[in-house]
Amino acid sequence: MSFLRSRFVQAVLVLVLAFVILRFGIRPPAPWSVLTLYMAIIFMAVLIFVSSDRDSWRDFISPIWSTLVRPERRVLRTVLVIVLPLLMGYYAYTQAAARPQAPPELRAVHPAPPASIQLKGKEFNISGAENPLRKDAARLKEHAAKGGEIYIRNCVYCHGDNLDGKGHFAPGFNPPPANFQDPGTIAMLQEAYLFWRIAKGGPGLPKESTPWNSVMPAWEDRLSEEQIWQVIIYLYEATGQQPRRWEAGEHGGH
Amino acid sequence: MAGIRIAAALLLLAGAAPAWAQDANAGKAVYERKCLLCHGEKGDGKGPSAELLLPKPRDFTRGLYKIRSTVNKTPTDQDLFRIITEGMPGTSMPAWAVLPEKDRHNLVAYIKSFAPEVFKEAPKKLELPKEVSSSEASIKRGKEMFDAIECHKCHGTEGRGDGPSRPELKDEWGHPVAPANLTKRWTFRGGRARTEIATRLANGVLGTPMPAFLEAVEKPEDIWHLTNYIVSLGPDSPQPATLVTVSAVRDAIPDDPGADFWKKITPSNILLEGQVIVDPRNFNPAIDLVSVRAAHNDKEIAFHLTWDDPAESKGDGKATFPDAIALQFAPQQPPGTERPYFLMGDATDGVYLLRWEQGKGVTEVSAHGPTKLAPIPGGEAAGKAVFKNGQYALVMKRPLAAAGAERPTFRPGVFTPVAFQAWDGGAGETGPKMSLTSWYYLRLEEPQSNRKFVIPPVVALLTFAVLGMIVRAARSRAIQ
Repeated sequence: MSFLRSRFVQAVLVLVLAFVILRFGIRPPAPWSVLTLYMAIIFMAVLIFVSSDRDSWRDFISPIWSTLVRPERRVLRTVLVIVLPLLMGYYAYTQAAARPQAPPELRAVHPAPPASIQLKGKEFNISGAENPLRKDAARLKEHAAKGGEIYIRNCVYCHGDNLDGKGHFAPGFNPPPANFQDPGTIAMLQEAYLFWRIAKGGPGLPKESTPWNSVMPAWEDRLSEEQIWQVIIYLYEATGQQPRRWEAGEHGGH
Repeated sequence: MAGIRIAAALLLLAGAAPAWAQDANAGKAVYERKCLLCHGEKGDGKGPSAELLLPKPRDFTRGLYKIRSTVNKTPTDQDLFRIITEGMPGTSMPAWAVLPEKDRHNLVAYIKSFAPEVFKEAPKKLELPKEVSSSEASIKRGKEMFDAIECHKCHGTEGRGDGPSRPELKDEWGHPVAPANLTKRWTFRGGRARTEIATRLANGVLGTPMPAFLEAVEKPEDIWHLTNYIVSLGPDSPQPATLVTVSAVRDAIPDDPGADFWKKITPSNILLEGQVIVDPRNFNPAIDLVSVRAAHNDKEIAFHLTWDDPAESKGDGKATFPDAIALQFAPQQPPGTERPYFLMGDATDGVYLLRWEQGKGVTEVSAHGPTKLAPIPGGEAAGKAVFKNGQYALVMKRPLAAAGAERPTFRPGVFTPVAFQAWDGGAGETGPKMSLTSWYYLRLEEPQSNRKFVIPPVVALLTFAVLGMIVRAARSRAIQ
């Protein structure tokens, strides 16, 4: 195992190992752009390590140097000089011949809500608002049941029976419908935020959420204020999530 | 499994409480949380959502199950468990694989308790004939059987569910029921696997007009020839696209949708969903998929669309309406990523529709919302549609460059937002009652781009030169 003592072999091994771990060790797979960035950082680190002192650097450079100049390495040298350009050419071909992909649509997933909205002609404060139906704990179950009925007649087509965003219309729409089971959705939002998104839907999204591809309807046209609060209670009840609370003195978004 | 059953039977004999009684109670709790809103509190399929759904939720009180692996009416527990786990494609019944396995077993016990008398009769397992793998000869034989046992009467000549008996078909409850579109295997209620298809053919779909054919075919293995023929009719999945590429060509583009020219272009399959935002809402859209091919030359752009529709409809204006389809574009390429509202625009930002309607042909329309459509005068668009065996094929053409501000101009290399809308007039779809998509992308290929032949050799030569220089420099230093 004496070849392991060579700085060059060590450097190559570290790079290969790092690539294998990043490429196959991360689930779901990280995008290539991220991999490239990580690999560049690791490559720099390896370079700094091998050039840390004169002997180390000489050790690292010597196999490269000998391949470039030593007569007995002529075959390897010729092979490299032919194969490397071919590989680069092939890479350029895959890039040039790739079919164009639809451009990715970057958007704010949870855009900041407005401080207040207009609801059926009256001003409705979002910031600091609580679900009024939670005051009467005795009727909570009844509200959840009503909310379930509203959900199954209106929301289920996209958001799904299991509230996981996999309704039967979901495959046709991009962005995909929100998955309420995901801890990254309703569990990190205040109920008032949900009220705003349900009442105003895709058309009510702020500028930062362009391209407004959301097909979420503005439910203020179809549901009463109380019905929206009921369906919100159902969403939390059915998924077992808790709404985020307003922090003391909090106003506006986050 | 057999061991468990024997053990359960022994327990029953010994006079112990039946194991499933406990399970059914646990199943009830899961049922009330997950199933009740469709299937109803009493299991009669009359939950609050039932009136909006098609096919209707199953009525468990009749104990009649479509998908079963038995020759009698009683499904096995495994049959029920499988449907709960995998759902019923093409219906509102989702796959409940997300529930713990125990919950699903308990649900089976509870669902059975709605019709205990049906389950008194033991399930009698269907014995499928020995499997025949697919081959040209087998598919041919399957096609002969398809004609001989008259599958086409319901499923249509090419299997698109457009047979002449279609309008009269009713299920056991008197609800209209549509014959399966055999070219869309992913919508098969009992699954698209070969064994599943063969089982449906052999023992039928209970409660629907689909009979059991095991006795009706000449030889038992014909079930497999039929299966092979059905599998040959279409792809396994719709393979939906998000980008429509418009091929660049030099020659004239044919108007005829049946021309060989179109067969050479790979189609992009676009999924359509119901419009449920404005009234009347369309919870059960008739058209779920449009295949799009497109081409352009230096003068015009042409779209070739195919979609399944069981009947050509010109409409009587009361219950039925003319079939129609539309491509939607922003009138001007919007700055950045902004674009009009996907549902035919709104009062401030309108959209341009390239629209075909049965009896009217191709028109250009400016829309400011789903009910505010105005034809654009000075028609520049033309087209031709053919309807055959339950499928429309349509070519719509238009000049690349536009006249006026209401029409978009198409430019190669630009990602252009596009959306689709379709109406099956025969199913009563008209106006906002349609199926639609949100915005997709369309891109016109640059004409005769040769970059993939020029760039790679240049890169290879440059690399070669750089390497050569490094080797030379190194060697001259070594000599010194």
